[in-house]
Amino acid sequence: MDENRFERIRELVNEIEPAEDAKGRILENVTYRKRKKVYRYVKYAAAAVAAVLICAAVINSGLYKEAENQNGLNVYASELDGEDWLVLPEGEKRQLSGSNETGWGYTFMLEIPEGVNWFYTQSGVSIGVDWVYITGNEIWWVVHDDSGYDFPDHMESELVIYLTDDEGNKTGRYRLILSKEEDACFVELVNESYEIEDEEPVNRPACRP
Amino acid sequence: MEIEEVFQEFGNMLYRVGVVMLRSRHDAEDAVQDTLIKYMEHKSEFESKEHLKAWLLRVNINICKNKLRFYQRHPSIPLEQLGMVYRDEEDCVLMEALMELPAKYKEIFLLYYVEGYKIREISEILKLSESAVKKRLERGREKLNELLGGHENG
Repeated sequence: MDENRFERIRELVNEIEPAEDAKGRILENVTYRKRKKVYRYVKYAAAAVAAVLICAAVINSGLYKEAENQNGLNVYASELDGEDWLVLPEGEKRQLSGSNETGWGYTFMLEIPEGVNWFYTQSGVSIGVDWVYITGNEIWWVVHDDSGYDFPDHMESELVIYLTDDEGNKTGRYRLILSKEEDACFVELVNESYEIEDEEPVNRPACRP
Repeated sequence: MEIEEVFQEFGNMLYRVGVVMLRSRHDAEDAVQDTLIKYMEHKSEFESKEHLKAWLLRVNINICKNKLRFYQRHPSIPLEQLGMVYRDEEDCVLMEALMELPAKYKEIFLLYYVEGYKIREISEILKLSESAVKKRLERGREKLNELLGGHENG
């Protein structure tokens, strides 16, 4: 084949050019895709930052509550038959249903953190059977009315747990309150540790699991 | 290089390849866009402008071949509709014959005769062996001869 033909093919193909509007369209579309890609990355980055901020806000707001307190008391409540235990979070009043085949009453188990000194006191109205049993780092508080009936109205009984260090300085105070209001029994765990800073150290022997 | 610079430098070349491979200005525009977008997404640096040019040609040709597979047949748009009007009848016949070539010969022709690449360079761009490139070049010439001979014979 005549080599001049290939040279002519080269010249003819090199004459093919996009029109100005086509050039504009190509560049515009590519630039749009470039901006869209940057925008997508910015959107993802913003979404990631927003997710982190939302998580931080939720955790700090207390909406997310751990069922168990890592450094404080863990308290569990059950009806007298020891079935259906529930974890009592701090600062929340929970209504309890106290009637079952065993009788009308409750069992509470308070778990003291390992390696912590503690002691307890009781106050309020003593109801029927009200005894405290200690085993290791667990305090068992059993409360029930031995008449076989519901607790008396406006009854309130509480167990107060103090945590101390080795020098007898109080480091924490928790109040477990059992009360009767308008035919319903309630229990509440209150952390009063912030109030005890200036209290006198204790000299009484403390329990230590 | 910025995308605008790449388009400035190589846009026309890519467009020409697209028109010849696809026989369509509209599709050639799309192919150029897609090639530039691939360039935007390309992570590593190019050793030189020649390296970049070869890369762009390879990507552009592959995009054109994918489009052809998608269409499953060559569109036979008259050259006039592509805005390719030639005063010289022979030029018109020559371009028509080039456009009629199968894609595997067209790409060799474009790289060898239009862009001036050597056989070895074409084999690197198209990821073919040198013997395969030579063979396709030879068969492409035969096919072009056949198409031109058919026209000459009426």
